[in-house]
Amino acid sequence: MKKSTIVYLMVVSLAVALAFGTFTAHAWTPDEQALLDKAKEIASDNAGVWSLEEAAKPYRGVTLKILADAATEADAPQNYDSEFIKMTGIKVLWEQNPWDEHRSKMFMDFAAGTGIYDLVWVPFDDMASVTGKGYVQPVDKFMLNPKLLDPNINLDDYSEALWKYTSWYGKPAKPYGFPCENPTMILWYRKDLFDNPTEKANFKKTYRYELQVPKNFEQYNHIAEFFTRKKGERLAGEVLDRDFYGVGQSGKRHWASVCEWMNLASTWGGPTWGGTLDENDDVVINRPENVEALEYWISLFRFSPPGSVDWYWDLKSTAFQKNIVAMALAWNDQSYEIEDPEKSEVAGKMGYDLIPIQKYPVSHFGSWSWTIPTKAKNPDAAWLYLQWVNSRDIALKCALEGAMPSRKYVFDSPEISAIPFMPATKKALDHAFPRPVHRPEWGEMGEILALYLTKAHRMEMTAQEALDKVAVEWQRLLGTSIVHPPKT
Amino acid sequence: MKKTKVLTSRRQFIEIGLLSVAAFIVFLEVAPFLWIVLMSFKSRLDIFEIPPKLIFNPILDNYYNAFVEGPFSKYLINSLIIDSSSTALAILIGTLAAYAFSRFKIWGGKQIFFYILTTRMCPPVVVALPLFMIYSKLKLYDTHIGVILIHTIFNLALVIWLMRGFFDEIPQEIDQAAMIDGHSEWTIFRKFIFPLVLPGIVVSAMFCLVFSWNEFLFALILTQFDATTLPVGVPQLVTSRGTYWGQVAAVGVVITLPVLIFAVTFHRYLIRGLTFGAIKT
Amino acid sequence: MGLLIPSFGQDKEKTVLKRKYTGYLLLLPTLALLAFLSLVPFIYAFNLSLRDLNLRIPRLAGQFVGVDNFRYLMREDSEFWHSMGITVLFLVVVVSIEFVAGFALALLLNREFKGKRIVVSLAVIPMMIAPVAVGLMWRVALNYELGIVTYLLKSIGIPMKEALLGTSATALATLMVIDIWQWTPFIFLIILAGLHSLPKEPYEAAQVDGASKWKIFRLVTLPLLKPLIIIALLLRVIDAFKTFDQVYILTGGGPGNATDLVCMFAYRTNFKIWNLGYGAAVVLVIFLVILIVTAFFYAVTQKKEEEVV
Repeated sequence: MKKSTIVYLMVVSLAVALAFGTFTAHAWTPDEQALLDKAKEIASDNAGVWSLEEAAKPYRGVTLKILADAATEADAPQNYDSEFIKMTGIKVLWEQNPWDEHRSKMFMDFAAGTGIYDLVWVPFDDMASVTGKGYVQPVDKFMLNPKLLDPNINLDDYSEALWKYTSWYGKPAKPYGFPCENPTMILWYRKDLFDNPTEKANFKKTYRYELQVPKNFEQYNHIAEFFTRKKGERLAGEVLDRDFYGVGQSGKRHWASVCEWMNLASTWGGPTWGGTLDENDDVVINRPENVEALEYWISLFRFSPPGSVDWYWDLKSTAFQKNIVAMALAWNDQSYEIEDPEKSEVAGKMGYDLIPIQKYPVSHFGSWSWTIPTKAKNPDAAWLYLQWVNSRDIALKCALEGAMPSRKYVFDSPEISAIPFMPATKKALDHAFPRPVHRPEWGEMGEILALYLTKAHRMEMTAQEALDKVAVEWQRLLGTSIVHPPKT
Repeated sequence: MKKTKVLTSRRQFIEIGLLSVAAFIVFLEVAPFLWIVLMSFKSRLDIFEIPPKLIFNPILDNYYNAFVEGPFSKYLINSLIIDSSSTALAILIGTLAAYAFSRFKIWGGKQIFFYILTTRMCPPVVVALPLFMIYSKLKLYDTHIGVILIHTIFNLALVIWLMRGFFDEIPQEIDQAAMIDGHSEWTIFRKFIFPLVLPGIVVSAMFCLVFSWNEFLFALILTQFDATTLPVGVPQLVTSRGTYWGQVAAVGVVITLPVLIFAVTFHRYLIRGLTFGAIKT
Repeated sequence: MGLLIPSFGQDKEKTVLKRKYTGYLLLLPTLALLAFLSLVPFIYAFNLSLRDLNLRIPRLAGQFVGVDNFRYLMREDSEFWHSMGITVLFLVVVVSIEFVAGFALALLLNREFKGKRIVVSLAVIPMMIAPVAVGLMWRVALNYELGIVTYLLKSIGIPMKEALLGTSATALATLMVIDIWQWTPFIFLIILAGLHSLPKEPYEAAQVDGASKWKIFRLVTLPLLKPLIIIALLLRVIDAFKTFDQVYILTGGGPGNATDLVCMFAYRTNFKIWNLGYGAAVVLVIFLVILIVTAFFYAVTQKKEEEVV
């Protein structure tokens, strides 16, 4: 790419950024706004009158069972449950499992309709299914019930994109809960290396511009190339005792590769549903921009550790912790582990910023939602807990223990904004785009995409062939049409 | 005289060669386990050190975090209760059934025996979902007895298969003689047959224990808080933030110990009993 | 149907004890348990396999579709048959290597020496560690940049351009090696036990005849061990077919679908995509194939026995 092209691209991207601004094309509809207004009204009526102790009286002695992910977001509240128990006399029991096992238990429980759980954490990708199947219940009835609504619920705290894609489903959309775990993708880079004078000088010599946080993927590619070194060469003045790489990518047949690549597809060709479907749910996964983005992603593996063809997110952060990679697109919530000096050799040496922009500013996010199952035995008590655990006060306490915030109030608090990666996270949320989670078929669609992404970077087929194949298989699942029909 | 000496030394040479091959294979089998043991005493940064550190500052944090701070001591107790009971139950029921197959005329016996074997061929995914539904209807979900039952069942086929071999091995004349002496069926079994099949029981128990101790899928989907077993706890160490490798290693070591102790203790029986009564003199 | 029944021991007429129903009485607990927790779920799965049920997609709510699922599976699902193919490949390779290695080790250690008890107990460790824990350990060991396996292979001079789990051929081979590591002890233990209980007389006779060691092994040891060998191999074939834990933890079926063994395929269909109707059909077909393969295998070994005799 010539320099003029870069300038051109930068101008275009700036213009686009100004034109579309943030990902706010999804404002509340009048119905939704009416519901929110009504809830606010009730909340203000309740101010000074309502108390949790009083509201919980009918449910004293009840035990709530919660099915949650094995994540810090679920560990943190458990430290404060005793406060809730003391105030309400409602007991709380948590069961936590990692993602796959969690999903198995969740669907089995829903299918059997046992009513064992009163609250369930539902992954982003399953919200359309569990709401569509009626496994969980909308919470608007609780929000409009004066007996149950906490005046300090502060619904304005949730950014629209985040809350809407996380918890509002159905036609017309209804809220099913609140975000409980909301990772967003940001750029990780080794600030110490980027700031190193020798490296800066060398970089300038080769590429004729300053070494800085990459603003687009041309620069990203340069920097990745620049920092890829062999054992024995020097890096920031030190002789390397092992190979070092410019970038760390996830190539495993796993959602990790899907989520990572989707950022590229979105910034190349626009972020609607991660560049997979258009507004009518017609398949655009094989559009020319995506093919280009996939070719780019594959070419970048030259500067990524050879083992990264088998990485998912955990190994990516391990590679940072062990100081063998300079940059990556990664989940913000894993940054905690990178900044932990007990586990990481690069704690304090990291920088975080927005994902470079090819054309559109993007950040892929995936969120989980609290939900109350339709068969739950104690829905009212469950709502009271849900409301309490998401209150500003508890949310802030949890965030201080390492739970990723979702409320603006928490993001803006001085303690939280002082955490190195939080400013980048907050900015990223403005450009956050979801994957096509509104389609219940997405689970299978994602599996197919993961398979063909690995086939493409394994060079078993070209980028075009791989994405064409995905398009055809998706069409079979969705029954919609393909915007760019495959040529063969 | 000289000739034999040469021969002996050559034979010794081959002998040593063969033994070192054996030693090498055994080493290959054991080495990964030793590596896990080492790993369980390492910090996260030491675990990923290349070249691997053989000398490092050993820490007990992984054990402490898993078993004292974490829930693994509870899981360990659950595993002990569930696996010993299910083993006992499988042996009891399975031995009776095997005795029946060996000594009694059963209508459709071959077919029934075959049916029992098929339960072992069945991939666990086949029955996972329906079992969950049955369990939640019958209130067996998340109970010790529930897991005991399912572990008993998947071990049953193996027990019956092995034990039938042992019973077949025992000459029918023993029964007949005892019967002529006027002993009851129960006495015949208890006094004459049972002592002869004891090694078989030890072996079968050993296999049941191994399979039950390590079983994952059923224990995962059928438990929740109260009856969670050790293997089910392991993936909980893989969190969205990262994996606690050290704790995985620590739990891995602890999981192995009871079975290992059992194997060393009953070593003699194991070797003898494993013949399944299959070889005749 | 009776093919699978091991026929060790003499096939004497059974002593028919006086009260005929005792036999049924003894069988009752087994049958009750099995009916309750194996037959019922099986019927349930069969019923599901005739329906279109997907827990994630509202429109697929369990409509009866006859044998459509089976028809699609048999005729159109090339991914499934790919899985079946590599599973058979996997099984043939691992079971034969495990058999040879386990047998060799048993022959080598079939002597008395100090510390034998410890050595034998140590050698069988791999089959005793929980597969979930082992799988995760292998993940660490096989990490390309930071794992010990790559490091060791490199330091003995094997060029390692790619991660072992990163290319189709090496990923499957790696899973095979792990399986072999884990289950060779199983064969070893059974064969060793067999060797211990071999009668002395046939050997003495053979020695008097001046037969060579190889000949003794082939004509005396092998035939005597045969029933044991059949059982050991059968159990391994069945279990190799069911291989799941390691695939699940190490590769998830990838790269591409290079390690997508049938049980992984079935797991994904059922528990990731939640296509339960089709998933039930998949699982029943797998079950059927295991049945047929085992029966076939058993028939072949039976036949050979007749030839030897």
